[in-house]
Amino acid sequence: MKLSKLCIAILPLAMMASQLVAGEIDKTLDVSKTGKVFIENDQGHVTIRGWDKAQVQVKGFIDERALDYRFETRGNRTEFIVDMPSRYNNDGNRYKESKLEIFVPSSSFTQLESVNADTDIRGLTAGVKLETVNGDIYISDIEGKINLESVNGDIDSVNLNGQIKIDTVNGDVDDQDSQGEIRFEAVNGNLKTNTRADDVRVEAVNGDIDLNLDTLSNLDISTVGGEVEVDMKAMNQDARIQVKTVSGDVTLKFPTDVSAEFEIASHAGGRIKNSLTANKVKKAKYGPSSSLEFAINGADGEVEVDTISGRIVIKKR
Amino acid sequence: MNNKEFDSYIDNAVSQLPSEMSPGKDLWPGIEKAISQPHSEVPIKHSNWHRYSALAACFCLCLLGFQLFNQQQGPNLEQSLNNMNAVFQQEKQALLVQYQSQPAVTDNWRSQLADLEQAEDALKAALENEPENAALLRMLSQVYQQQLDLINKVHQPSWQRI
Repeated sequence: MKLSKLCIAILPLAMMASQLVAGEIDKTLDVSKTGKVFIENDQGHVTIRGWDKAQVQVKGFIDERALDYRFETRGNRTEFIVDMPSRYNNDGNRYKESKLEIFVPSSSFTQLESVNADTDIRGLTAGVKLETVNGDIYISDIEGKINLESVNGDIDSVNLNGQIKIDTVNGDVDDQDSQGEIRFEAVNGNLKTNTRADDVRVEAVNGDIDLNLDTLSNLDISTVGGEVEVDMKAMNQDARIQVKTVSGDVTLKFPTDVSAEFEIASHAGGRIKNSLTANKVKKAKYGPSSSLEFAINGADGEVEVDTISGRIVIKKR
Repeated sequence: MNNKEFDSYIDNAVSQLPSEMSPGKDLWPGIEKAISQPHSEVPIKHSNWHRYSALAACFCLCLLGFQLFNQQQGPNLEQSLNNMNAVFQQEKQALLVQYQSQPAVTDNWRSQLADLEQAEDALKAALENEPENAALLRMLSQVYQQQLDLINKVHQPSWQRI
């Protein structure tokens, strides 16, 4: 009897203790300016900003379903991890979710993993790696090695510079003013970019791709389904363009002074439309293939296009 | 390394390969063992075997693919194409079995996979007309890889917490 009374008395205290982790946080740690910062937060919204201090600061609210959190630095690595139950109710309307503002040294490499949290990250010079499901990513003013991965979430990026890789499933990508090398992988997502990157690679399945490119050295596009439109302002000498598509329509707009050797092949029923020169498409003697080959303005660069059941259009911009 | 240098590097590397190769013999016992393991014993958060085996299969596919591009014609070419297809199909089935009881994070991935499978069929049909077309072989290899990547991406273990 006494034991059961004791349990009844202790239970509310235990429940309070388990909920203590949720709530406001405002903590700062001294860290290496050039270290690595790892952040894990499943739900809510995370804002990450780079600053000049050799400190990581976490402010805001921690999800009320959280069991615990860990904020520590060891050597070169700093971690802020919101520990959620292994399984939990994912109804954001019933529970107050995390809303965190995190400041990290701008010269630290920052990595974030989340499930449903939206992420807004800005002002870092040593690269980032972001992985999310169902969360949107807003990213701007980042340099270095940049790796963004999202399933069901959209990615909006502005002014990225470095080795950029953006990977989505069911998410749309809108990239503005990027430079360096950029690689997109998208399944069932649309991609739009205005980029100064001179090395651009795209792999897409069923997405509409809109590339506005500045001065190009290398372009590699591979699509299944979807539509691709590429507008090239200029091409460097020895520029190399490769396009491979299955059932996808591709329009390539070249600079007026384009100098390249063109090899375009349509296998199994594709179509080629040449609005760039007077050269005619040749049909294969046997089978459904056709091809278009010509050189223009000294043939400095190389353009190679292969399609199966797709429509290829080449024209001046 | 630019594309031309990369191609040259690959050409050199491939020329040093044996003229025949068996796809990843040491890989499959591990995959079979993992498949036969009861699902409840598979640690959800830190199981990376499928990722490593996918990478290994990717490596095999690439090697077989590059071997194809550099090989001559005739039965060897057909055999290599069959090898590449066999490696891919085994890896794909192993992944699908591994993930069959694990919910995916998207509800339309099978539709995307079906589109990739249609692309695979279209490429194979085109290769029947042009069996030595390196561009088509590259495209087929890439479509294989895209299927494995898609299956892995939508079943990432670290994203199975909700």
